[in-house]
Amino acid sequence: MSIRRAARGTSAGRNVLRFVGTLRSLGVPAGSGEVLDAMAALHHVNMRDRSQVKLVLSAALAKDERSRSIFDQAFDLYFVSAEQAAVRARAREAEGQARARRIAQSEAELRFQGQSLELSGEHRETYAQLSQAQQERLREFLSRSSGGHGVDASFLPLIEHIVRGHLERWRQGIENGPGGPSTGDEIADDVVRMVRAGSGSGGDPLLYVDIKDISEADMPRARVLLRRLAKRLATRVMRRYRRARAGDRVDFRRTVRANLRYGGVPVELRFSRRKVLKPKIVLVCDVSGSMSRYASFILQFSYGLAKVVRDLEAFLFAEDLERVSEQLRDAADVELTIGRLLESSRVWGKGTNLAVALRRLNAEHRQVLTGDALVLVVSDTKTLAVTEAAAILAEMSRRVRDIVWLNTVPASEWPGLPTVAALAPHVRMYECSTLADLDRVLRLTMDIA
Amino acid sequence: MDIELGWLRTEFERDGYICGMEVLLPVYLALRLGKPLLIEGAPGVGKTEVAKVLARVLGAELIRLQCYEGLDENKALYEWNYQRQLLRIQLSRSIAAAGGPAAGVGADADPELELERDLFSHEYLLMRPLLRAIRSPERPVLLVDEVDKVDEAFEAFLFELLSDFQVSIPELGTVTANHVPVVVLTSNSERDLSDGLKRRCIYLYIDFPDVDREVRIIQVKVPGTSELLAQQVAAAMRFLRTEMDLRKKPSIAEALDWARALVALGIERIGEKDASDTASLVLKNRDDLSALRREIAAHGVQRLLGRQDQP
Repeated sequence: MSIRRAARGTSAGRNVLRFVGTLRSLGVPAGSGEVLDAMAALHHVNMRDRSQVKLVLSAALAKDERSRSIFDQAFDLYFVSAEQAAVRARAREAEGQARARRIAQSEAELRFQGQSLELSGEHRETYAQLSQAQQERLREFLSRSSGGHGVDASFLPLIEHIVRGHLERWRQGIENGPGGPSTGDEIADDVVRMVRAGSGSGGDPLLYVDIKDISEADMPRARVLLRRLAKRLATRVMRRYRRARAGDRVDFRRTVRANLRYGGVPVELRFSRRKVLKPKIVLVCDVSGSMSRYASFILQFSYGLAKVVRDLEAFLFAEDLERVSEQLRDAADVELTIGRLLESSRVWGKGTNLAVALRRLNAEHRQVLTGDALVLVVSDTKTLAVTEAAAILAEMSRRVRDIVWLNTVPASEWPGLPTVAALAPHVRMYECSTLADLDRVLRLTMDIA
Repeated sequence: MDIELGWLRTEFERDGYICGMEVLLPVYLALRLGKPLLIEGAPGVGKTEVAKVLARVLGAELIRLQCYEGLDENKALYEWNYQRQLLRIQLSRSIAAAGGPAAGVGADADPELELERDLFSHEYLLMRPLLRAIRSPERPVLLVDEVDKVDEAFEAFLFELLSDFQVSIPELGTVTANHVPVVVLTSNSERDLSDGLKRRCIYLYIDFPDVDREVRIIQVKVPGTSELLAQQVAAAMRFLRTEMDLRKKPSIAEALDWARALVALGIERIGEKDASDTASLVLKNRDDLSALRREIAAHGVQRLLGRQDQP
């Protein structure tokens, strides 16, 4: 039975389909088989009992922690009483009128030498959604270029082109941002927006906050989260190493030897075991200025993994490099020790010079840079002597297993950074500014290792 | 399966499984739709118990596949009895050497072909839980416990099996299920399961019970517990699970153990000393225990036991 046929004729069915669309926009992976299950399941419960309907849809559609949290919010916002729906419709209407006013205003504001620019409705809408400061910047650009030396009306197409380019970039930014692209269904869009505004995209919202923006009040909760993530990853990794032993092959030499007493008839089989090799990690953390908090989180996370890693070497750097592996290895409380180290470190709080740090790493700690070592660099790439640093990295990447760069600058800003362009070709670079990023990147890293 | 929600509820209650609609409804749907039921939740919330209760309630055989790292098809599905086959070969060889006829061989049959056919017959097949569930004459309850412990390859094999309930054994041909078993999978969510497996299942997440429900569970499972004691134990569980940052949260089984111990010791109202003395029944980690003792030293049992203990 097709989904459409299952849903046809009943307004409840259509409503459920639209609700599933909303869930999908929020990133809940509800497949068509699951939608059919949900439809079939609804026949077996009392459709007028809201709590039963919610339980049924949840059991068929939301199958992990994140999906369940999104589902709960989305369901409560989507299936509302007629009065609540009316209130929301009025709010939507008011918002629509306000936007129309802003678009009309943009005609008056975006002018070049007194002429209004030819822009699409979409771009005008984007302008209307920009912050005051961004609008101001665009207007300033127009007024400055209007009065430029030797600038006449023939410049209009060029100016229009530039403005469109800017607006297009912002438009894409808005689409990928919290609102997300429109689904074309007003009610669904409303719910998507409200859920996203409520708690990010499922799980603890703190997971998606930039680490440097986590407030002091939230720090204890962030530490608990960090510990939990590290524990989960450690379990997963440990499992993988043990698993490497499964699926073994028959070991002929040991089988023959064990079966000599049966006259060579192989009654008992012996299996070979694969050797378990844990990864070796070299952490190189930038602790200059605003980087220290990222460094502290990443160090804590890494030491949460210490059990499943063969060897963990840690270095802090800013203008110079300092080895802290020993202090951390003997620490009773890693969290506390990291805090103390960051405060007392002699390299702390100065400018960043990656080249000097890497040279020292090469010269004094060459023994840690072996062929099986995975080097993790934690930095925002804002360093002096970037060309030299890139050359050292290129050389180093041939010697170690891999270099992974955890970049604390959001990936959307990378294109504008020349340091990223210089360093990225020699390393695997990942964005790492939130706890969720950290979890994702370290998962990936452990898979490489 | 033709069962009613109300009936299921009564039967679960009668079996002593105290739960709410949020547990019953997914179970009911899985039975009605004939889909596997995937249960997730923290250790000790009663995931495995659901399958056991279901088997008792439906009067069906419970076939359990306990998953662990390295579990493979040989251990889960079937295996040829290798030693017995070897023995058979040796035997037929010595009989032939002695000049006697090989067992069961007619005058015109090829003895070697006959032997081979004989070696790969049901007699030499060791059935493991999954094959047993498929070949069971009555509809069984198949419990695949801790499915998050197996590796991805086995998981893929499992969900293929769960969608058509048939296996092909190269030497014997395809074996199809007589009755589609009631399948219950449990997971401690230590690893994310594949989307494919999840998609085929009805999903049930079991959370720790709230205080009132835990009071009922304690009273049902530990006869002789007074209302006050059950209240105190349940309140302490809530506090330990939600307010303290423990390495391992106490499960329902630990609450029951604690209640049993308190009843055995003749304690009717938990005091500071009772709580510290018996804490090791509830928390099984040194750091957790010292955290609880610090809590008791600082605040007594006021916060632990909640308002019931306040005079």
